Amino acid sequence: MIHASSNSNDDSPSPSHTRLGHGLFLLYLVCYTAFVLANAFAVDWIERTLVLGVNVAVAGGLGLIVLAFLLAVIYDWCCRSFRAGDSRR
Amino acid sequence: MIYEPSILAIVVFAVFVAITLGLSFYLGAQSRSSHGYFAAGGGIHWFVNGVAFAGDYLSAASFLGICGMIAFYGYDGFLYSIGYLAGWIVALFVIAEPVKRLGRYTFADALDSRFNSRGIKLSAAISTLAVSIFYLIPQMVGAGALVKPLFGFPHWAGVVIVGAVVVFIVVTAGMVSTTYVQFIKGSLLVIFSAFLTVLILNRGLHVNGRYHGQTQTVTVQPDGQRIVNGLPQGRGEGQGDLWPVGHVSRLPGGATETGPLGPIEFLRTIQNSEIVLWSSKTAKNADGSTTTTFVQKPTSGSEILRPGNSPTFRGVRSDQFWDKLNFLSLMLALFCGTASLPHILIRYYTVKDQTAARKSTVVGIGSIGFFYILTLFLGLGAMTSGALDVTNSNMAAPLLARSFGELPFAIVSAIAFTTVLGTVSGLIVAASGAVAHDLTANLFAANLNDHEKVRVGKIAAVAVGVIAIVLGILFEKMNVNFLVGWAFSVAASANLPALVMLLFWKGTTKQGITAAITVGMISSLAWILLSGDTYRDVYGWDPATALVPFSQPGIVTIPLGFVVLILVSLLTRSRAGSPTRSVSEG
Repeated sequence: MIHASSNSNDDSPSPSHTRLGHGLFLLYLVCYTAFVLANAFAVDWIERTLVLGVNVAVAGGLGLIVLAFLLAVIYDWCCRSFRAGDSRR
Repeated sequence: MIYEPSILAIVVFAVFVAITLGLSFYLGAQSRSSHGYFAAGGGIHWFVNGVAFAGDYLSAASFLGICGMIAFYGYDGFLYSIGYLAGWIVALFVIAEPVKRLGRYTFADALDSRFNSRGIKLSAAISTLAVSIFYLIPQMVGAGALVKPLFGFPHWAGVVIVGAVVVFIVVTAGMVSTTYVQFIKGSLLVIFSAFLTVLILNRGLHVNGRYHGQTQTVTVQPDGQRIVNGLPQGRGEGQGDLWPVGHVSRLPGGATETGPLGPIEFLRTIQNSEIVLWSSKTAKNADGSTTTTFVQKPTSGSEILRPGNSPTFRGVRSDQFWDKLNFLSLMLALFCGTASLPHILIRYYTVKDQTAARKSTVVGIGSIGFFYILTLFLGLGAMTSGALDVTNSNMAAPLLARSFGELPFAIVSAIAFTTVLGTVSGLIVAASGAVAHDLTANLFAANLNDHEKVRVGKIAAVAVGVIAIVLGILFEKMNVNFLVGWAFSVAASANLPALVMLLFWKGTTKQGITAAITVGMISSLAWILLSGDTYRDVYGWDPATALVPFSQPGIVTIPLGFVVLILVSLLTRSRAGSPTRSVSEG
């Protein structure tokens, strides 16, 4: 079984860490909102072929899923960098 | 369609159950304290927890419901995938770390972290129970719906088997065994979905010339006898059955087959092909029987890969603003619902710190996102597999697997069934934690020691399991996706405003939180019960007479929760005293 050590340390997020999270959240929120509104109000537009011969609806949906993962990885990487910087200081 | 029960599927499922039960016995020793029982002692590795998120979250609705919806209607099912995954962004960037920092067993701990309020604990516990039970019903109904075609047992047997196994898993080792059940299930689901996708792409697409006929009919007589295409349903002499459907009628450039395709090439080819979908119409006959007629509907790929083909999302092509609002409301509930689901939130207490909570969410997003991308290929693969049952979209994924042979069918069927185990066990742990930790101490003013809390939790797990079994049998005819939508709307309306405002508004008071949870829960439930969908599907009434203008409550009841919290907090602020800072500031 893979178990973590139960020793907890103080790893409260720094202000820059929190700001980054909120910024990435807003970025995704804008993309998601635009995508949902396009599906509701611009059905003819999202039917158009955009990239690689796939329409906007499919490309946008796949893009949103991939974007979520990329933002998550970026966030985690930045948080580790912030923590490393804090430790050095 | 009549399905042959698969002995192989039963064997694969039995092996999985045996492994999970053995694991529960083995891990039981680690769950004697309440922190061990309800939160696995905070000792789960972040990677295991991340995959367990997938096992917890990817329920029967995700696997069977979305695949079936894509197979029957195309792109509309994929919209669910996008919405379900987007909700994890709220969880990662807004909720995960503060919830981990502020709580210990349940999300009520986090809400109550600076108030020590009986009202908050009570309302959060009731909301947890309401959401968990709403979420449990479709899982149990899904188990019953699967067990008949796959194993040959009646509906109630499937519900009882799942209920009994899950209660055993939860009672023996609580969150520890639940986590490992979800880890195994999540891994198997993602790996075999990827394997199936490879098989689909390798097979490519081909024009199927097998035209059995333009229509199929199913008549259900008052005595329950089914007449299929003019013959009593059966496999014997003088009997008939529905034929499998789902074929490509035209490929680009007049080709008859494509050979193996890459993922993007597969989507592009579908978009430029013509595929035969089926529409259905049900009519009541003079003798009391009902006849459902299924008619072929050749549909262009570009039409399939745009929104609005399914009854759920037809509103996006309507000129009526209310119809579009229904779609927007559902997408809002999916976005806000994930980070408000109690069985997801308690998983943050199974890891050691906030860093592990964040890392496990990243792993969860990776595995869940990968799975949701695969649903598009699984659904479209099923749509063109020639193996679909025109009467049952939930069977699309297992029948797709059967088109590749009995072994993939057995494995996918067993995984589909165990999918229910993972989600149900998480829900029962969340509900039992709410009862033992929040409800008993506050409603009955009982001061329980550690050992007693675990005992109450185990009793609550058995009680919730029995309730879930009974409701799973009673709600047999209800649509699984419809019920999951209820759970997301209630969770988002009741819990999200309280969580977000606690974290980001210094003026939040305990009365504000209690009022927001109560109003959000009651208003969303009331809206659902007064909606057109419920009128039609539950009461059997004319949906046009429904009291609310559209069926999905989120776009009204989520903002309502925020407004109530702000108003009540402003009104009670002077009495409560102003907090000095919001909890998101650490």
